[in-house]
Amino acid sequence: MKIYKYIILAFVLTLAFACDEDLLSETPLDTLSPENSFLKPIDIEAALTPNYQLLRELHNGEDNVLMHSGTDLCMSARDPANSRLGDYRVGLLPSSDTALSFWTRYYKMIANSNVIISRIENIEYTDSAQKQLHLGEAYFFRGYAYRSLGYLYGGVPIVLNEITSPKTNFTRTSKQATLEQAIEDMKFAVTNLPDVTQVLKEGKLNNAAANHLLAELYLATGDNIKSIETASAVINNPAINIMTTRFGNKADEVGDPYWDLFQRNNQNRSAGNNEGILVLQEEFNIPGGTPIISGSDNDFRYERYYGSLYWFLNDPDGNKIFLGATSKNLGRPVGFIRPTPHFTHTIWGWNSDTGTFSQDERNNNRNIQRDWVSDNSSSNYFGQKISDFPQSWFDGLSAQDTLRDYYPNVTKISTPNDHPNEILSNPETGQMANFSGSTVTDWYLIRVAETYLLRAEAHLANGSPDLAAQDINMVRSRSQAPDVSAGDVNINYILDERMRELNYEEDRRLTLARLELVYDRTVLGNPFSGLTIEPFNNLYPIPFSEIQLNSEVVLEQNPEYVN
Amino acid sequence: MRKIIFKVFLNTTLGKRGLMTIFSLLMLNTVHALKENFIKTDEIKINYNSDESKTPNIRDVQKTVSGVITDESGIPLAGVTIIVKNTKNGTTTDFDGNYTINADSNNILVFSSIGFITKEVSIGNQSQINIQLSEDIAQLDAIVVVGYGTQKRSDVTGSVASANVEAFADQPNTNILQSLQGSVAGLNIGAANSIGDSPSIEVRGRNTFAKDSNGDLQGSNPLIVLDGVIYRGSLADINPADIGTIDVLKDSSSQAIYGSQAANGVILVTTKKGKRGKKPSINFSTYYSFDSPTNRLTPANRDGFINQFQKIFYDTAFIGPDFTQPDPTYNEAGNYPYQSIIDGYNNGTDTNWLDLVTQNAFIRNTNVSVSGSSEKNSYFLSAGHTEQDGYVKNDKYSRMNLRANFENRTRDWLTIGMETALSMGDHSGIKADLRLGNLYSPLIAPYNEDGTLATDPIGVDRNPLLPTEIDQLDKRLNLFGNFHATIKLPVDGLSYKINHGISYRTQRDYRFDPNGNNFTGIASKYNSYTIDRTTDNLLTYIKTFNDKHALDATLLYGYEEREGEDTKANSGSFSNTILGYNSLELGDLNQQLVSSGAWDERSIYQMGRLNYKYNNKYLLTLTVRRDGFSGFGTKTKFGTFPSLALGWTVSEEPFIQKALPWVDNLKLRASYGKTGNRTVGRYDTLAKVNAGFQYVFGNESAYGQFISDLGNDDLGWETTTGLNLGIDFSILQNRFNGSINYYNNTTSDILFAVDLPRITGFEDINTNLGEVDNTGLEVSLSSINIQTEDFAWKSTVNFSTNKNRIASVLGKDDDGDGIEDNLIQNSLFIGESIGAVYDYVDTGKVYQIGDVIPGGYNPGNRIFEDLNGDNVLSDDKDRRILGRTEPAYRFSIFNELSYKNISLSIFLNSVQGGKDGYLGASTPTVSEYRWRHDNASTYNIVNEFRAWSPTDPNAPHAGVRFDDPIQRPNYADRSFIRLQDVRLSYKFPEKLLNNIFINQLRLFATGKNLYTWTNWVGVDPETGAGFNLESAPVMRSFSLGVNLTF
Repeated sequence: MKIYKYIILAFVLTLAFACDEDLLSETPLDTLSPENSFLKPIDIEAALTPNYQLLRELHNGEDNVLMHSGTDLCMSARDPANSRLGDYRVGLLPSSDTALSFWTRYYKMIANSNVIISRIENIEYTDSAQKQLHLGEAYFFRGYAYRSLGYLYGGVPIVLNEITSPKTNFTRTSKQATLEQAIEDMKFAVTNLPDVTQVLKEGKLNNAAANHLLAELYLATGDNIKSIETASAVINNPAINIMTTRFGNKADEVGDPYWDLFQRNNQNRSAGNNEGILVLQEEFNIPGGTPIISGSDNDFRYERYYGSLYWFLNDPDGNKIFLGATSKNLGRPVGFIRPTPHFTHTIWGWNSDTGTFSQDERNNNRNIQRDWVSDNSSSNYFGQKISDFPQSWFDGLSAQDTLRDYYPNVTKISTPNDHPNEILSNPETGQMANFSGSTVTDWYLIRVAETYLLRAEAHLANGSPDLAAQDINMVRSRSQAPDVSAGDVNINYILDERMRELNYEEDRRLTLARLELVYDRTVLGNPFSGLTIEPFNNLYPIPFSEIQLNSEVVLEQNPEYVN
Repeated sequence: MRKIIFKVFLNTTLGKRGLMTIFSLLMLNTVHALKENFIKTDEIKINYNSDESKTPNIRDVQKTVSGVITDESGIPLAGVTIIVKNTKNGTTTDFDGNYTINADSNNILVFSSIGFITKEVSIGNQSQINIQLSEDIAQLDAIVVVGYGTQKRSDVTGSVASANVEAFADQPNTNILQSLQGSVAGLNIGAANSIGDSPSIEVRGRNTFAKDSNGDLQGSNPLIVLDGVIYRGSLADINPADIGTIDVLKDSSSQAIYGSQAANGVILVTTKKGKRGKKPSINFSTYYSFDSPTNRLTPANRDGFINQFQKIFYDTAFIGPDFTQPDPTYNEAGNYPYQSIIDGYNNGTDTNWLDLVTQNAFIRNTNVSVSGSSEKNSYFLSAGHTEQDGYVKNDKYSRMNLRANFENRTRDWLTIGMETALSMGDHSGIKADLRLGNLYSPLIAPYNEDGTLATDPIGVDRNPLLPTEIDQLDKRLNLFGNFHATIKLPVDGLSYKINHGISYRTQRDYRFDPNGNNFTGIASKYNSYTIDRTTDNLLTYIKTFNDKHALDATLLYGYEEREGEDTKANSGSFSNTILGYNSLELGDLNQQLVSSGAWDERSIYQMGRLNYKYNNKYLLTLTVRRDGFSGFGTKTKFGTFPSLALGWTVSEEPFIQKALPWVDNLKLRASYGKTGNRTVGRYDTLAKVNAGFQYVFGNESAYGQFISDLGNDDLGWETTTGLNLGIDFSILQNRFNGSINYYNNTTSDILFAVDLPRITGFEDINTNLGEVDNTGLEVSLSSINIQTEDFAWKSTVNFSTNKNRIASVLGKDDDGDGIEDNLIQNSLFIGESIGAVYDYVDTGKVYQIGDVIPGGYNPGNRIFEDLNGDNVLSDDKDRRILGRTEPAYRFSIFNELSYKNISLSIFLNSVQGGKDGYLGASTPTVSEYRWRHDNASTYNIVNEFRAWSPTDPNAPHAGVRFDDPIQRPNYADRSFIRLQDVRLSYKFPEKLLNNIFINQLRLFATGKNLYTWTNWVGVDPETGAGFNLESAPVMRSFSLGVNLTF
């Protein structure tokens, strides 16, 4: 009998101490890993999506305000002498958030592209054209990122492969080398991306967009002839043209072709628009698009950030002029960023003696709203235009009123009378809900009007101001603006024209940085930032944290910035 | 062959999960059948009535003395030893606490029992001596839970502290951690200011600098072991009334048995059991506590708000250039943006928003328990109910606890038992927005004219009361069961124990917000569950050889498996809102979104421990644990953690006994060991891909994915190697006793998310690196200052100090200066503490109107020192270490006075910063709290925040008309002394109660957080909340209660 107990004891011990170490192997249950999610062409397709998202985020009307503010285009509507690069001495430092935020996003875009470029070779494609298309997109995004980094920061470290382990020995290259990398990538993109009419989905990359950026890069590297050739390849595409006639879903309302460009849902080719080349996409209330509550990663916020806080204004009696923020009056902006006087007046030929502007449809009250009508029935001024208010009202405006509440609004930031019902607090009066502020429509990243202006720049640099004038007039004539003569064309004229035509669509700071004119133009056009900007601010500082983290090699700071 | 079968079986799911349990049950049955044949029962009966003591002393009168021995709550104590002093004559009490003994009238009777203070009584002419024994605060002979077993206090070689659970039992603490706050040296519990949540815990300083995504330090929570099994749930779910003892393993040697999870300390919580030898008793206790804030921020009233507004906009409200004379033409109302505020200004509105968003707080608690024991069974059954209203309106919490602990000793060779508990917590209801309650302008009226809530009186921030209209259900269920069987094996001293613990927790969080999505409603339903299962197999061998060599050996093999999952369904924009969250499908199709998650993790471990005692003098403990965890990298799945401890009971040495007769006990201890900290969570070693709908093409959602985290297959545990030196002593017949511990812990391979250059496309990577030292001293002293028949005064003092020092971070010297580089961007500096505060140096001055003000600065901006004198303030050159967030030392004093049936206890707790220590950020950055000029017309300011203005040029805080270009907080010392707990209790005389069959009736009144001495400005020094508007204050409580045993 006694023997049993030892058998049992042995049994227990054998069992207890026999350990199965396979039990400890780990497979995540709800998280994808690089090993199981980069296997098929459809995975690469998915891996391209975040770069589109980054491109949109980099132009979402909130994270990119410093691409506009602190230049000749814009300034802060709140405390403009101090905030949002109102004062370069404290606003643009190596430790400033802005130095890091653009850097981070562009390098994420590069990393995402490098993952695709590095992994695609191990993926079996049944359709080799699809593979080339995917590669073309990846190279486009990488080239776009190096292009932007090169303009903004000068020469930056170049990474061309997927990074799978920590690395802290990056080295800066020259600005020239950075831009040449961008050119190489963009050239690859041009040959592998489809024609604008052949894209599989609206908003997808095409070779015209790549050519447009290539033309710009050639300009930046001084290769004017190539720039002209490449821009011409875009302009000569029969499927692409400046929209000179009315089109789209509001074609039968009072308007003009320029105004049509920016009406809700008019940006894509499906709306009959042949001008848009690369359009950032939005859609209301679907995953990946604009949510009902403004302020996600996925929506545009030009309305909220760039529009004036008009609905705070009081009439001469101290009552509200407006019954609130309404759809018809540009929605519910809160006035963070406002245009400079250079933009609101100088470039439109303001004559203070006559109180008139030069002829230009882009400056009519539809496109730049300068006047409003009181809609508050309890105001004694109900139904009156503000411009008809007594002079004493204008004289009595506070600094807050003039800077933040009452300034000319570029109407493309909003969708007047066309906001989704879900973001109105009162659909009958059109009053906006407190959480609104998104610009619920697609947004141009590139349209052919800009290609013309780029080619004009190239012609000018190439010593052909007459050809430059021709290109500029292509853009001006659409808006019934008088032609410019060859003798009047210079780089400042082109930069003003870009403002008139493209204003918030372009990354103004990048354009100026490309030309190394951030300093000159800001002094010229920005009454606050112009007082403190220095020539070395033509480049952004290298983020101080990057210098710290790249501990094995010193990342040189740009000249005159103090870490 | 057998092994192969087992292998195969183990690879099946059933095998993996339940093999241990099933086999053990089989084993039990088999053993049961065989037991009569081979298991020897060895009952030890103490019989002191030996023949020699029966010889009477001729001079004295021999008599029979009898009586009843009870504990302090009047419960009879069985097994108490009664010895006639200096004789071998003795007896023990029976099951009802009765004893009878023959002795002489000039004899002294000595009453002793483990865990109780020994009492001596002269017989004199008494023949009935009833004794009440009180629990031994020195606990020399008390049983200490040390993990996978217990030890006598006198045999412990490591640093194990036992909390005085009893002393704080009457306090209105809904979480047991609150009663440990300050009462155990080296155990640091944060203040609780949020109901239903657990405060932070830290044992012996911080040994890791891992930070979470908010930049807050993390990974310092100790391991909680509940009734012998590792407990992953919240301590908030455990009814404090059910807890019998709490022991804290503080040094590496005692922690090492928990291996890779022990480095942050181990807290062993043991629930009450039916004590052997106690008659069944029923206990009923209840209290009601009234709570009010100890301190809070006070938002300005109407006049204050208007005044403040003018001071902020001094450049329009006052006449320049010095802006001290009001401008008579200034039109205040014209500057208010919202009609609601203009109306309020014109019609005299003065809303006290803080009053509206807060309520009268209270706690109501009731517990009933039955415990007892028969010869074969002992049990403890309890039910508890807690109901609490917090400080903020609609902050409610209630909890129902049920417990059944049971032990059965049917056979001499078999003991089976279980500890089971159920907790149902109800956190339903969304509280009002405290932050906005502090911020909303007093000029805003809360209600419309028709009495309904004004939902959106101003721009973005909605009415602070609006969240209270959300219909929320948040119910959490926690089921805990621990089942064990102990079998005496046929080798003398050898036993086998199997323990299976299950913890099952679910949460249901359902919400319907009728005001969401433009009043069309937002709703969600969230369900989650977690199940933890642990199986421990323990083999114990306890034997003493030749009366000199005492052996106590333990072998453990265990397996832990945890899994969880959750599902959330969202909906919004309802066509019909009447069904709320119960019919999500009535929402807009595009708003019907789901998300779900799941996880699992496993551990395997083995442990061996040997306790050896020679001649009651020399103690040795050796342990080793091997831990494997699924979350570690493939190269580092297993770790081994050894330890060694030595003890010398000096007072057992004859020469000491001779030289120092007043020393009752003196023990020296030294230990050295290695433990781990499993900061690595499951899946942390793996690269991750972020996936979801990220973009749209045309009107189609686009699925996207990107690699969001780099993997690191080398990741393992953090290792802490620690030395502990300790002295335990007790002198003057145990009137004065204490324990002093010195320790030095070095933690290496710290898990840290090292920031990467963003050029890589990643923000950081988890890495094991660096080294941190913690050195400290802990002193605990207890004394019985006065002890007379009627009056007693006892004191306990705890003191602890810890110095924390980073020895290494990246281990790189990239700048080539021969000294390892600091990791400045993470505020980690070699040779400094983890909480080093590194920032610009504030001169304490601001630029005044008329000063020469550098570019970019304005009047009211703070002036910082330009350390390198280059006239530019830069992150690189003009910051330095200003101090640290860690305190210099902590102390607490507990005094207990009792006079006859009245007792009073007073507990003072303190944390002191010393020079430049215990710094906290006391001033908000203006953007965070909206105290900036562009919001001043909408948002209120608190009276405690006195901002600079031309009419108040020496105000303590910077001006808000112009944002400070450098937004550095103001650092201030958080040192405080707090009168934390006071208890007054009255015990009704037994004589009165005996007639009504009540053993004990006690009334008590307590006060908590009655007074705080501090220089800190802001909400509370201990929580570190300065001007944090959303931080709920620490509450002051007054409670009344009754405790009844029958």
